Amino acid sequence: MYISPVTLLLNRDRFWDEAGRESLPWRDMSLLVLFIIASCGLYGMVLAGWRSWELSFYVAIKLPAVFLITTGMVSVFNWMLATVLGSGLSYRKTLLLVIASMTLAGWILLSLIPVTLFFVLSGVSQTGTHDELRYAHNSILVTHILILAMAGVAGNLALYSGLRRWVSDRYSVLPLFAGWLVAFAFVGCQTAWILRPFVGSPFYDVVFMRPDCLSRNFYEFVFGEVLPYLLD
Amino acid sequence: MNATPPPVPKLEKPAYVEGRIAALLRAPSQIGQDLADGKDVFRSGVSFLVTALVLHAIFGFAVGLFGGLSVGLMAAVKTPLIAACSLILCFPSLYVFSSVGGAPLKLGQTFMLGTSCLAMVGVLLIGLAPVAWLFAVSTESLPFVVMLIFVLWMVSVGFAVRYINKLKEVPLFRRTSGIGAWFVIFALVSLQMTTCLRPLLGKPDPARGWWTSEKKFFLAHYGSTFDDDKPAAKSPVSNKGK
Repeated sequence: MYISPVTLLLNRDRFWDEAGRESLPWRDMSLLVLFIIASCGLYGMVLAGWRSWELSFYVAIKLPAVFLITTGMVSVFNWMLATVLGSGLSYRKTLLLVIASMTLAGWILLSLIPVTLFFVLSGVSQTGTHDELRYAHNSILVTHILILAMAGVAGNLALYSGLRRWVSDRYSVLPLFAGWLVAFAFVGCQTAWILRPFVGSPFYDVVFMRPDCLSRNFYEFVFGEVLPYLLD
Repeated sequence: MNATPPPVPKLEKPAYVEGRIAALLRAPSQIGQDLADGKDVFRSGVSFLVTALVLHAIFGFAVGLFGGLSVGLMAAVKTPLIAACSLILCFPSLYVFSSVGGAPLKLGQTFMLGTSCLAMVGVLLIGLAPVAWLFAVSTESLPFVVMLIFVLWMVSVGFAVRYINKLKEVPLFRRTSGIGAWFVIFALVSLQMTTCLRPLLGKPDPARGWWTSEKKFFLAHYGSTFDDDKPAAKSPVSNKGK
């Protein structure tokens, strides 16, 4: 079987060739989805491990959920955009491209688990003064943001190369790629916001989802609180 | 007029045969070719690893003399430990990053590549060890020595990145952006590992010995080093835990 996470990692040309067949069965894609659930779940478990086992378990469910829910929500838009821009990509191919890019991001997350675990075990203390706890939380938060961003960039570069391979040379893939990226980021931020907490602030109780998760959205928070604070 | 053609220059034997260190410095593409061929990768990898650890130990001893002979000996043990542990933690990411970046390697090749990078850092550090020693024994300012070591180490890592770029002559390593990105992870892990295995330059706390169980993020640790404006670095109390 060539449509597997291992082929995608080690022999990407072959993967794109095989995945480009129109007769590709849906079950081939399910292997990639299972890999995303496993890799993101494991990383999620480590991500919240500094706070408590309970949150660790919750995030192992929530992190893959963020990726998969976001993909599901933007998939129809992705296909419509690809059709409107004349790329000729089918719905199945647009979905496979996004899932393949997330699979590569999953590989990156999986490979960085030892590093993350090391940072959590050696760099983050669960005891200390208010300021020390806040510093620990912020440090681990920034570390995870950097790692997730790195995984995202690597995955999206793969998405771009896949697009280039499947779409005619005469067609500029950049507008389509940018459109997909913006849609994914826009919806992904809100999905993650609803499903928070992930890292787990030491000043709040551990919960699966915050009671106020639907009371406002991510962008209201950014434009209403973060930006005024930074610009003040 | 019969012009005699100029003699064909005799090709030099590849520098690789002169030893691993010479190959790292003069013929990295030879190492790249061996990596691509998968020739003796484990044996070469072990050889690079041993070389790297010895070189790091010597550098550690040289800079550790800042705190006296006992600290020098401690640093000679801890410096190769920092390098080896960082590489072990970063091994999975090297394998994945190189593949994602377009240079898929087998496990043995990844091992040899990682250890050769570490050896390259070690070679540069050993070249800079006299400079580090000279400054280390002629100052009492801990922040200065920490900054000096950081700069020297970054220079060495920079040369390791350059070594990776030299491998591009080999088709397998035509796309090395993934390996380049991996160096960022390796650098961050090394900094945290240094924090985890502190003290490195200060005299150890007699109660706790060479190691500490206190958890600390590397930014906080280095920040506290620079916050400490007391110059008496050679005092067993003032630079404790650095």
